[in-house]
Amino acid sequence: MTLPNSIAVLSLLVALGAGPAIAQRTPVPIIDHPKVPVATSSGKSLEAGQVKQAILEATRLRNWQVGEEPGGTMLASRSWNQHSIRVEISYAGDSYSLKYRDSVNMNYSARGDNDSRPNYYSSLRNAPRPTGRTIHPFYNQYVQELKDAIRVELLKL
Amino acid sequence: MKARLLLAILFAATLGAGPALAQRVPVPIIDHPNLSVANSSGKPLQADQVKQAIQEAAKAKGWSLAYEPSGRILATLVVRNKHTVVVEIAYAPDKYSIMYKDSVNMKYAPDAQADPRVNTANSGPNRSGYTGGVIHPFYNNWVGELKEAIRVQLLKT
Repeated sequence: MTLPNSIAVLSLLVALGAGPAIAQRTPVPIIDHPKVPVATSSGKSLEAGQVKQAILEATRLRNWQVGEEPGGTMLASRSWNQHSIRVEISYAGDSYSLKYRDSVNMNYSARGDNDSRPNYYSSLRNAPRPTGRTIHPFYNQYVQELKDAIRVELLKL
Repeated sequence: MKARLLLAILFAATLGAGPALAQRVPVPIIDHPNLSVANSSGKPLQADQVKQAIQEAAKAKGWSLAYEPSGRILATLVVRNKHTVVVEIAYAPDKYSIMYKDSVNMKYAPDAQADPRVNTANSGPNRSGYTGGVIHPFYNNWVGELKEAIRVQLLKT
C-alpha cells in the first residue's frame, strides 16, 4: 500500500468512528513460546540471572510490568486503553518460555467460539474454525514483539 | 513527503490502534559492506580511530553499542520503545561495514517471497525475483543516517 492510500484508508476509519478500536478482528489461535533457546552473539553460555536481566530489560523497553512469582517464574503484564494481557515467563541459563496466563477484554475463548460471525470460517477456504484457545491477534503480536526484544537483549551479552 | 508522513502518523495516532509503522510495504534490506574509510587529511588511520568515529556517530544518533569478542560492534537503536533495530558493525583501519543483525516490530522477513505484498505492490525494476530479507523502509533510513554520521565523523578524524 502506498502512503497516500494508507492515508485514505485511515481517514475512512476515522470518519466511521471505528468503534472500539480492537473489536472486529478475527480471533486467532494463541501462540505460546516454549523453550526458546538462549543465543548470545559471543556464543558463551549464560547464568540464569543474566537471562533474567535480559528479560527485565526487554520488558522495560516494551512497556510491560513484571512481577515475580514463587517458583522462579515471572508474570509480565501489558495494559493499554481498556485491554490487558498477562504472560508467564520462565527462564534458565539456556532457554526461556512465554506462556499465556490471562487477559482482559481481548475476546479470549478457551474453545475457539469467540467469533460472533457464524459463517466467517466457512467462507474461508482451507480455514477450519479453530477449536483451541483463541484471542484477538494483537495478543500474539505483542508477545512476539516481547520475545524478539528478549532475543535482542540476549544478543548483546 | 515529510509532511505527508507526519500526516499519516497523526492519523494513526488519532486512531490509537495498531502500530504506527504498520502500513508500509516491506522493502529489501540495504546492507553496507566494505565502506572505505576516508578522512580529510588523507593520512592512514588506526583501527582504534575508526572505532572512535563509530562510537561518536552512534552516540550522536542515539544508538547504543555492545562489543562482541570478535571485535565487531553490535549497535542497537530503540525508537519510541516500539521498534528496535540491531546492526553489526565490523571495522578495520581502511574499511568498515554495517550489516543487518536483528529487529523487533519492523516487519522483518528473511525471505521476500514470504511476503506476498513485496512483489505485487512494488513496481520497481529490480524487485521481481528478489529473495533476500525485507523490512520496513524506516530501517534503511535509520541505518543510512548512522552510516552518514560515521562517514562525517571519519572525515573529521
